[in-house]
Amino acid sequence: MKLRAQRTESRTPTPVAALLVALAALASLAALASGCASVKPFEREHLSDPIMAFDRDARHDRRALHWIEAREGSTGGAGGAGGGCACN
Amino acid sequence: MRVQLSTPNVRVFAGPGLAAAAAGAIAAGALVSIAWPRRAHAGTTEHTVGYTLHYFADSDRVRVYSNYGDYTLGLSEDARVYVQWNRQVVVVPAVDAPPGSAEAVDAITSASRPVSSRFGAFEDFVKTRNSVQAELTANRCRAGYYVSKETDYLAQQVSGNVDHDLLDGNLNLSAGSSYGWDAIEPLQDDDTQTDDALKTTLHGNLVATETLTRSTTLRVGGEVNFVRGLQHNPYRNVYAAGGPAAERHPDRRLRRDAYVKLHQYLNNRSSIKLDYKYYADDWGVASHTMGAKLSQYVTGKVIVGYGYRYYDQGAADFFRDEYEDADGIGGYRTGDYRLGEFAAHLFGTDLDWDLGRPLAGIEFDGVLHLTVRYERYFNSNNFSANIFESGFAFAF
Repeated sequence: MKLRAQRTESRTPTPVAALLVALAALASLAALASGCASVKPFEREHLSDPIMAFDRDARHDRRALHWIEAREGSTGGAGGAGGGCACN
Repeated sequence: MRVQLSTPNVRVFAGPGLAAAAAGAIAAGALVSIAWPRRAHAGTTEHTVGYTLHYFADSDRVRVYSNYGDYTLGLSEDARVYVQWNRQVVVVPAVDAPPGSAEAVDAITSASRPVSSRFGAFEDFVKTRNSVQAELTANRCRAGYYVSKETDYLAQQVSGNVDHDLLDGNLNLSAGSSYGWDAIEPLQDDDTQTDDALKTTLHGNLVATETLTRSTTLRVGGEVNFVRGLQHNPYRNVYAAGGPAAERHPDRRLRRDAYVKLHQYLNNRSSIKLDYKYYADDWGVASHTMGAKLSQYVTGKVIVGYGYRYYDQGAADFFRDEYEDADGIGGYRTGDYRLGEFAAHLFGTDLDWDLGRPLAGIEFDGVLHLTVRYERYFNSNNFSANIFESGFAFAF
């Protein structure tokens, strides 16, 4: 029988992983807290460039989520993907 | 990798009613948009029609041909309707083993496919999936509906989202939720007997997006999903106590993740986007996802992007290579490699070309964008895939 995974026991998050999460959370909080310095509308030339937009690749991201969801254990789960793309 | 560009002559299941309804909806949208009185001046383009061809081929010889059509109808400066139709043909290859052998009783790929007298193990299994997604956005609210239909699966979802600007537009807070309900009707399969089942998904998310400097933005978000119902492959067997037994997963799963994204504009007309996500669920799976993407203007109308994504996950509590007890672990057993430990890499590049106004001077003057994309995915289970995508968007 062809086996894909060699693991025999579940893995809990390592201290390094926990540290990464904590650092990311701290960085986020620090960045949010420091964001009170207001950027005026006329100062947003770069921010309004398409290459800075969060949703520029939104449709591609949605398509990618569909096939990645069928191949990774922790992606998706938001529902609506159906059983297509050879998944589930 | 074997790439086959023609659909093999095997059974094809389709949902003609849904496809016709979707095509009709898009056509109706096009007609309405022609008749709709457009504003003499608008800050944003009000109507967009797009098409994308998506081709997926992996090392297990699963191939997916997808056609996406979408239409955005601008109702006013703050309101629009978006409809997307997708037709997807999935080709799951024959089981690469003699009948009765150990290999033949297990799904070699992660794909869903039955094996029976009707769906022979030595012929490709082809299924067609049609889906329609519709969204209405007005002011800062969005409502959506999604439906997809394939031979053994009907998925539906309603969703909603609202967002609000604070701090002179420097901070945006968004909250969203969705509820999905799927009807699963497994096809005839020789060695598994799964009854019709349901699956429901309740989803919620909170997102904060902040402008940090004139060239930096940050997004922080979190999601929760609660899934109930059938969550294993109804056609897959696993080895338990020396023999094949049907896969069985828990019927409840609580999934949580938190992520952060940072976008930085660079002085040479480029940007770098960094992201990180941590995920954990009550099946014991935890994962880290990190990504980076560089977007660069080559000319004023051509943007090239280069991306990389790294993914690493741990195994579910009940995942084993083989089960000594017929009941598995706590009554659960899985043959799904997605619940084991592995890492994955994704490289991608894309080109976005603004062709301007090729139809200037005639009634349907508009701006045309072309996009071409290639991605290469591989993981530590010797699985790999190539993904090609090309499409256009015509905004008028």
